[in-house]
Amino acid sequence: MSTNGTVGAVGVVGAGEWAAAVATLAAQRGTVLHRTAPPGADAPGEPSFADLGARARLILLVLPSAEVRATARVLGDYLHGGHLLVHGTRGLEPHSSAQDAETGTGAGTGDGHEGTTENGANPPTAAAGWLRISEVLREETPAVRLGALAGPTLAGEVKRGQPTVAVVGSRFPEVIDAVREALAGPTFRVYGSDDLCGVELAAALSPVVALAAGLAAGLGLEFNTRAAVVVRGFAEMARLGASLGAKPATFTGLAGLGDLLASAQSDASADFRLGRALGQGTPLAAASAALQAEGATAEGLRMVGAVQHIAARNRVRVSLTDGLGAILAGADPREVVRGLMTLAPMSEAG
Amino acid sequence: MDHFDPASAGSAPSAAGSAAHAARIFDFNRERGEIVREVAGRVWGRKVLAGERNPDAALEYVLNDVAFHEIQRLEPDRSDKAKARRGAWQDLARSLGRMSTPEKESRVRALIDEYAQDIVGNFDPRVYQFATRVLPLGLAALLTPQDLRHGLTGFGELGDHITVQGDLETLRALAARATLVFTPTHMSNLDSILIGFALLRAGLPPATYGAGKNLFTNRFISFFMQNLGAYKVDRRLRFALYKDVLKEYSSVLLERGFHSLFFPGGTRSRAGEVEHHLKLGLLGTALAAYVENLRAARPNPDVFIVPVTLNYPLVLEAATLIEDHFKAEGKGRYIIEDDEFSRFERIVTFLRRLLSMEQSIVVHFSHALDPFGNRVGPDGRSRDRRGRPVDRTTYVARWDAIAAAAAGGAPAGAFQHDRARDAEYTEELGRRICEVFAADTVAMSTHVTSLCVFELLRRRFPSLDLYRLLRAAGGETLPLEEVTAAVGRVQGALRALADAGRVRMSVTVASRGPAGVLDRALRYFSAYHVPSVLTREGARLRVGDTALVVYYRNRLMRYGLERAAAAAEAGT
Repeated sequence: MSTNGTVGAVGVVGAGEWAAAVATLAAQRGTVLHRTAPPGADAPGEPSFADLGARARLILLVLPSAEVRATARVLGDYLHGGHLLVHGTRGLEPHSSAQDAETGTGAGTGDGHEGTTENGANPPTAAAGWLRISEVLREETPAVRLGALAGPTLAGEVKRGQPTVAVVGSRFPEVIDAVREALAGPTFRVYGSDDLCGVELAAALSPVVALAAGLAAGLGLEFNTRAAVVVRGFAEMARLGASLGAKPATFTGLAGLGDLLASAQSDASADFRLGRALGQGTPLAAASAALQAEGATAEGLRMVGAVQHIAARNRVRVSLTDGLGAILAGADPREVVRGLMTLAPMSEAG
Repeated sequence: MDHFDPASAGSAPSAAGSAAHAARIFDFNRERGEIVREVAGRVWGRKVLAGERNPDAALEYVLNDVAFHEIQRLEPDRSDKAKARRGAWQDLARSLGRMSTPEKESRVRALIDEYAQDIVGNFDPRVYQFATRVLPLGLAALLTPQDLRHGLTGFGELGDHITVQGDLETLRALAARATLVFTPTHMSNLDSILIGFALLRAGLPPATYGAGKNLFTNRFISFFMQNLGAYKVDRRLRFALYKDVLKEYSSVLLERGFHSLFFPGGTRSRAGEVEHHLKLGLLGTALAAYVENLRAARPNPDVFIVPVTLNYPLVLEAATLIEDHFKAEGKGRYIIEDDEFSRFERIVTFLRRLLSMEQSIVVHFSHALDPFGNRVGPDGRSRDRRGRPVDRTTYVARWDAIAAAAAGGAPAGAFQHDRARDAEYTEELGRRICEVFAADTVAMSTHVTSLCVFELLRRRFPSLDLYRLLRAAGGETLPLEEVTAAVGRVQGALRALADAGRVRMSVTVASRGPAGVLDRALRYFSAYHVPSVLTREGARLRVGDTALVVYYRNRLMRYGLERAAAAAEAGT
């Protein structure tokens, strides 16, 4: 039980399948205020952002990364320091004020010090040109008590009542408690982690591997190859996460490995579906349009560039993601696979 | 007016004197005994409560923790006195199992009283008057003796060399309605003197502050520190009981409205960097005091934090600090007692030379923050990062109390301490302070030049790590033309950062051409460091002390300026 009173009504913002599943879980435990309409849109029968701010202490933003900032900016007008804000986004946002070549700054070649602050001014992801979603929420709202919900949570299975286990990352124990109180039940179990950064990064990076795994499936590659994609992809995620300040253990937990084991082998994952379509020869634009028509978002598409950018800056090797990037840019997938298989020998840990 | 008057909240004292006299610190001596008793009483109460709730926090363990750390601390000291004290602690540790509860209680209470008495400061208004009226005259005369021929003109002369800037009017207004916690960057032991002068110059009230006990060894300095509100922080005492007393002391001072000052970096920056990791222990007392004030429904509950950057083109102890940094790779001696600060003539020489140039030192008072890292405006209201007003009490109020307040009232128990929550808020505050430190750091000619020289050296020796580079680069020369071009590129990059509000530039760096910046840096270096850090030799620049190049370069190392410094093609 938190020291700040009961959760009361729970707010859910988002129109996707995962948002609907979260709202369903919350409705099983108490009052839920679910808004699917974006800011500025008519939302008959749905709570206004003002209603959400006034009545819900805990608000879950379950949105694609591209929609978080605009929504949080409007919602922020109705929030105060008492709110607990948790997101369920699997992505990062480009950092507009990141140092770049235009100013002659950035991409330092320092002594490994840049971007490794603990409570420092330049959070590692921001220094690398991307913001974690909690950093966006901090910029756009007065809320400080933030969290991220992640894990192997394919929305359809959650809605069907399949036993599902998720993790909430937050530095505030009361945020974890509040999410448990709001969502946990006989079919949905919530673990807590104080590694908010790690949970967010693991959730943001796993769609890239799911996309790669889907691509491998679409190419007709079989289980040996697909396992290799997942395991080497996971290694890339973990290395990159560690370079950004995440705890390695978080990546072997629900938000990292857990998410991958579900999303990298299931058509229920939008990223896997997109990858499969690409592997089967569907042009990127057509495959993306098909997903959009379903109301689904493949965050992996956006994250491929992010991973490559951050990896280059932090000097982390991400051969698999580089290969994926090349395919998205038009390279022949079979040539890319051949290139990956003929890389110089290296240690598995490297 | 000798005491703080809540009725004056909202007024903005315009002169140095009136703000200083509005300061609660003038009441300090009258409340001194009461403060010590309150601190000791609270710490004792918490220990008893903790022991009741958790057997591992029982008094026996408290005493054992103190004994263990004291035995360890005294171990290397071979003096008879230390041996005797170590023996006493060993005896205590051995007898803990046999001690009765009243005996243990008595020992813990005695220790709490002892630490509280040791920590507590003093404020003598007569010494303050002397220090503020006479010392600047003497210091100014000492630094610029030629002025004696024209009569003493007071600290205005000193002020010519020290620029004090920031939104001082807002801070003066806030000082009248809230308790301020000044949190400066920390480069030198001269910082305590500099910040004291800057507060006076800014028309801000004097603040009580925690000073390392080692600084009290100099009798002259000690006299003033003892009587100007400084309290002693014994950094050798690492056990929980001492830290609890220290934090409680700070909290009680803030609750009582005494403006305070902490160096949140904990110690002088060894590497010369702007602080990017803060010690949060004392900083957390700002929030603790705020919550306590709300709980007690005190009329002026607010505690605001004011980051301050102290920007020196030269640092008195630079050579010792960087040596210490490299020697121990971050495990440096925490307390250095034999550095340049311990030699009075060295301080005088340093200041004379440093201040022989106009506008040498810049003290920048940043905007105030609330304990949650929100910016506080001139109206005293907190604003989030989008500039929206936010009721800061909501961060520590119960949700049901917020709802009740919206309906017109606030039930009892609305505000509560929450150790986990408050620790995270303080982390957040620490992050914000670091951001502000970075944005309000003033890039100076010595920093820019050192950065350029270092990156050019690194380009020359690409395969060497930092430590090999340190050894290899001493005595190297670089074409002046190359260094000047690099300075120009870095100036361009700094302008872009400054326009985005991410750093500040000194007048020299902002307004002079690259050759002027380089020239100014070389004048600074040759005025103090022997051998000079960098020396002009015809059309080349000789590196005299690579470690100091690294030290001064480090001030700008987190701004991503390396590419601009090293490569022409990356310039603007």
